[in-house]
Amino acid sequence: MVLIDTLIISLYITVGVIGFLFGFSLVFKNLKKINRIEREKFDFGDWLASIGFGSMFTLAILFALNLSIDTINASGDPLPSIAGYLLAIMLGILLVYPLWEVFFLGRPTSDSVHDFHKFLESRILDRFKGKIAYLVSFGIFIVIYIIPVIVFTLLSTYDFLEIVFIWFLLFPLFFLNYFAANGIVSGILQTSYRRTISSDILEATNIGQNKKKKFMNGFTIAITWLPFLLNAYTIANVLIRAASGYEFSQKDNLMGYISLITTVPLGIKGFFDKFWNKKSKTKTIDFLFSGYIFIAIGINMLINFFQINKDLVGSVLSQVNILEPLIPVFSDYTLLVPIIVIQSFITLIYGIIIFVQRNSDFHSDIRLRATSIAFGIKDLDDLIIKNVPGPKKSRKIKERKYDFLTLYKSLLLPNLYSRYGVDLNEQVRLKARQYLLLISINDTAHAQKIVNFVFETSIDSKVSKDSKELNYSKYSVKESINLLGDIGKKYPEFVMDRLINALSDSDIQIQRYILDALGDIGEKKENLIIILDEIQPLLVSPLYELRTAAFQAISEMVMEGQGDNEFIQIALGKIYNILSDSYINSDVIDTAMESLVQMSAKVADDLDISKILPFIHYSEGKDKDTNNYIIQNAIIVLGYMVYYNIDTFPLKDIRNFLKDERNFIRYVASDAIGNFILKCSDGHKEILLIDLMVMSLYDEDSDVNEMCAESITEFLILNKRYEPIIDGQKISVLDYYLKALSSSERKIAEKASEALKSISPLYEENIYPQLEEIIKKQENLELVRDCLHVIALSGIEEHLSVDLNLIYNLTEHTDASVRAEAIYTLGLLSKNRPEIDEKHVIKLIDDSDPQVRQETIFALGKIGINKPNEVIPVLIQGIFDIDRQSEDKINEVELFAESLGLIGAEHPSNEVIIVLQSTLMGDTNPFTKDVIAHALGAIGHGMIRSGNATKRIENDAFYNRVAWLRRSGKIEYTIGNLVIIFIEALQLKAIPNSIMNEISDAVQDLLPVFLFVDEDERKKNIILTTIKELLAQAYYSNYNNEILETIDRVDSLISFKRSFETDLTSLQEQFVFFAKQYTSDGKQFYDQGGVFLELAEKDPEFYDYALRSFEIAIDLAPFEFFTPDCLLHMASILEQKKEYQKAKKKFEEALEIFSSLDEIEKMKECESALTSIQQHL
Amino acid sequence: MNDLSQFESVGFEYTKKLKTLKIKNIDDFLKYPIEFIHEKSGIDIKRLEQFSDLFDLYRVPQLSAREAELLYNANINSVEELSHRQSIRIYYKLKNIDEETYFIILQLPTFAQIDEWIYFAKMLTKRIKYGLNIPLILFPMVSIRNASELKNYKIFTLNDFISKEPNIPKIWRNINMKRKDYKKLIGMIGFVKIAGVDIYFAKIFQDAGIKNVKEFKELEADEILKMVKTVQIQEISCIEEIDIETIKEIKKSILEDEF
Repeated sequence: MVLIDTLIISLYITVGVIGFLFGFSLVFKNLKKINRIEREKFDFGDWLASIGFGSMFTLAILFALNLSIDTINASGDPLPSIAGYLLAIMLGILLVYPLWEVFFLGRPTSDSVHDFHKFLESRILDRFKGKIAYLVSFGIFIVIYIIPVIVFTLLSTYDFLEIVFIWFLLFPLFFLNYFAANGIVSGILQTSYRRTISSDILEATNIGQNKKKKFMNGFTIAITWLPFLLNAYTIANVLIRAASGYEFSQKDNLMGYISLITTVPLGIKGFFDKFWNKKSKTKTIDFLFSGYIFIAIGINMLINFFQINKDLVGSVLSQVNILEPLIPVFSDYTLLVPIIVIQSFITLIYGIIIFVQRNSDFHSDIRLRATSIAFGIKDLDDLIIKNVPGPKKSRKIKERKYDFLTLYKSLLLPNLYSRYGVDLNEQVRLKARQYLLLISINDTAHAQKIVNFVFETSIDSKVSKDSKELNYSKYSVKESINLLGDIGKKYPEFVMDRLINALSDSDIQIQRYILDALGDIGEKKENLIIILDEIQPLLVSPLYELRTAAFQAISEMVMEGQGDNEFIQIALGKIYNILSDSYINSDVIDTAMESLVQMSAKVADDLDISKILPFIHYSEGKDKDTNNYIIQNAIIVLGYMVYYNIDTFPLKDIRNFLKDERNFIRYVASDAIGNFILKCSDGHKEILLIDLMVMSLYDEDSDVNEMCAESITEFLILNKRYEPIIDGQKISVLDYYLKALSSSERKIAEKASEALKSISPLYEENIYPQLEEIIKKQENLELVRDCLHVIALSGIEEHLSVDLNLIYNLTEHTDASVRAEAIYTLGLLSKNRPEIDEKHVIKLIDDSDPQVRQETIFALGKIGINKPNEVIPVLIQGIFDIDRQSEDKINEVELFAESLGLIGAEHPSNEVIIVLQSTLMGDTNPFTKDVIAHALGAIGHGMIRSGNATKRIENDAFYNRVAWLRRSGKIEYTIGNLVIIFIEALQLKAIPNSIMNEISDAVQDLLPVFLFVDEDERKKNIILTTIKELLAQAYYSNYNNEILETIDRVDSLISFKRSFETDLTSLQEQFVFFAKQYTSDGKQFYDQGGVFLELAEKDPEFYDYALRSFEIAIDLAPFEFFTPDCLLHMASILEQKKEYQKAKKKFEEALEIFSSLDEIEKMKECESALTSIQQHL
Repeated sequence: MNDLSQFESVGFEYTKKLKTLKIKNIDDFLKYPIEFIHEKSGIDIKRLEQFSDLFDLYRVPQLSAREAELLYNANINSVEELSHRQSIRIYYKLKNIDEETYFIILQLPTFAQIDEWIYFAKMLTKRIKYGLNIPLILFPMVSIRNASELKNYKIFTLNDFISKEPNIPKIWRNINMKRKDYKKLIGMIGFVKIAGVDIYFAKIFQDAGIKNVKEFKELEADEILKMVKTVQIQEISCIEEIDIETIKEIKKSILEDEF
């Protein structure tokens, strides 16, 4: 016996140590990863969480083991037992944890683990700060845990301690069963999704299913239903037996065993499936809550064992004195059977609810996960073809088996809308498309099979209409046809001819998708010619959308395809033919002109002006509007072409259009003339400039005025101090507008002030004295405002001359709009006048006029850049005091956040981050949270440039008011901290999608920082993969497509990095391909390049990463607002690398696009770079 | 979705004032002449005109309330104006607003996005007799509220509606449309699908008592002409007079479609 006792004790010690180490290491590893992201040390809180969870986990395991051994022990001789002691500790934790939890939630940061926490935090605790918040936390504890116990004690015959035990146990048991239900239902759904494939999909794949496979599928599905049935049995059993006289006081062994199975193993499984692996755990509370659930599992076992072996439970309770008060609870089954039934009830009912909600995020997530499992690839290496030179490895490469049936099923899933109108299947289709493309790209056989499947189900069936027995029409085919376009880029031989053949017979919707796919395939010259010939009939289709889609395909081929002249001329030739052959068909001409406008920015120098000229007086159409659109677009195209066709530009006609009665024609004509005078001969310049000057003041349309002023500005940039002769006198353009400023006609004066905003900074003359004179007169308040505005936007010369006292006085003006403009002016002046006394601005923060208040916050954001210590406390106090929930304060809350972000970007500080975090996570109006996230993102970029954020404010008076800010334990905030804040924000509920989008963008913008950090060779990309895990967990707690996009962004970055880890071009191309697959938004690569440029200031190696990022951005978006910037950055980097020839080419490309965008300053930058680079060539 | 308060320029105070006149949403606002609202609410007429312009822009499919306000701030005051603009110009205007004013633009729209707005603005100003890319807001029974709800489903045009509607059971209920209006819409869509028929023609047919294509098909051309004329004669300004040839053409198109 002694030996057995020793063995048992050794077993307990061994299991205890192993269990503790296991639990400890689970948390330890997790927190280590988080600390790596946040660049923090493993602190006291982390140790507490690791030891806490390890201990609680061990307690539950040991307790279960002890009870099991005692139950199995058939000898009757008592074995050594520690169950009583374990139970006493577990009960202690069960009682203490809730109190600790509510105090933890009282902290200023957001710490909720589940929805109930969220409710407590956002609805109650966030309204209080500091000590009061903790006091309220205690109040919540009393209300939730103590008062109900007292009430039940008074109303029932049970003792206080018995009620305490049951009441405190119910809370964690609720969560346990909630997790169990989630786990059971997701198992059923996922298995069913993957093992029930409709006959039509099977038919189209030729994969088929034999009887054995069908039986196995059915059997597997049946197994997943078993836990559900057991729960149903527990409830039914009690009900049936109650009907036949059964009382709760009677023992039921089977019920005990079943409950043990459904709550313990399945509860633990559900807990790990649905909580541990599906919730980003970044804080102590996440882990201690997990431990709390394990404690509940342990105590729940006691209840179940009570059904099985009553005496055993009795002996456990009598082991320790303090457990004696519980003996009455375990004297009969009256209190405990209902607990078992309630648990089954929660699992069953909640399970049924989530099971029947087909249109829910939960179901959609199951389909998405099933799709990921069907793909099964976690490491890109499995997809890469490595044609590495040298001896080949003898090991046979095992062919990977994909679950094509599930992928096909996912690809074709029909639209399924949630009650908010979101297509829940869209992400599943997109993922399936992405995976099928990845599979096909390096495997010709697979590609062929996938193409065949898509044609069979999505195109051929709809064309031939003879597949009626197969119900293909129910599927959504957009993604599948897009997939053909993607595959067709690599394997045109599989796709192109079949698509072209299907084009004529398909319905209009399919035709549009096919045209879109053909647009992708036609980016290669050899394909272009074939496609152009085939889509020609559609270019003259009477159906607008079809015609547009056909022209769109051509535009896409030109914009994204091979940029050589021959390629472009082939495409343009087709459009010229349409222009001449269908001249009288105004609808067709209209669409053709639209596409030329789209292409002009890229092909302006390739266009033949003679083909466009016939359309500037077009009048063939019956519809006047259509004729107008054609004329307008023809002028726009001419405006683009003017630099390359100065001699053939139809000046007379376009000049006549300046007097046209149609505003929009005058608008585009003034733009074209504006472009013309930049390059025309001196003979034309003067007269045209005068035309524009006159129109900028006297045209009745403000847009035309603006366009003329803009054209004049561009002209003056290139022709400094040009002075036209008006009425026989030379006059500077600046004087012309200054004179107009004193016009007796209000409108003229106003227009002059508008024009001066852009023109005055081009002159060295100081126009401040004239403006001051008008302001001092104060004859016309509108003019005073305009002059203030001109001062605000004028150059450094004027700024330095400003009499600040004059502006300070105007901040006290009786007219609110003057006050607002004065404050605005002070804000903008602060850039060059750091001495501005912020007190004159701060005093208006509570002005009665909302516009004045908003201008004040805006101005403080600007002034704070020079005076952060003075302004940050004011803004923090402001955002703290304002009603952040109120709808009518949204603008102000947003401005507070924006201004804090603006200052924080220059001076990252702990205080700003804490306040923004608190407003982001707290009960702030959800519509403001995008701006808050954006502000935090701006601070992140500031941190990239200047290092980490630390405490900044040393203002005791301020801290006395906002005491909770002082107590923040963090010494230093890193970009990792921001990322973690964003990941937590992504888990906020009831946030509109547009807001989620911003939060997700903010985190995506910061991710490149982690790509090339120093790290352990064995743990490559550990930070990014940890972030990815956290994001995946965030997705499971708040299904949102934006989170999926962010996960893809991580994969894209890792693929991007891999492209630098090999010297083989073929491998580099493959990794870049994958990077683009995961993130196909050029803007993201542009932003990524920007981050690398910032990092390159400290480490020049980042220039290469920036270079490739910009290259991909251009590839994905050949004509976007960021495209010329990308080219310019690339050119500069190449110049720095002394690759002058390449740099020259990029400068030229940038110059071409900047010219089309009328970005004169940038044009000049390119031109001067080109001149300086010439000396190296 | 159709709330006035979602427009920052309308704001809390004006929304409150308008609510006292039982104007809770854009559709309510559009029911009354501006002068009437001005008289009853005391809101400045210029301000009301601004609201009216904003709501006009909001009709553009794919344009959110905030984007409509952005465009308004960029001096684009109507759908008509938007249809005649260039994306590049709009982009630079928005960029200036972002840099120079307290108006916060978190993500400047891309050229491609602005091109979409312009495209749809153009669609709103044109008569479309062929094809299905007709913005749904142009159908007389589709209110701004209905169209806003449809935006959730990414249904902007007739084309989107036809392809997605079968997957949305009882869509009329989800978009807050009366069943009667929905039936009328389906009837009108039937007409518009025919080559050569636009919303104006379809409305004339329905106003003349021809509810759907089936009824149109069963009636003789002369009979239809007579019915149509009684409606067109009452119009203050007739957009296009429907003659016997047009009706015959439409009948021919119906037969071709069926074939």
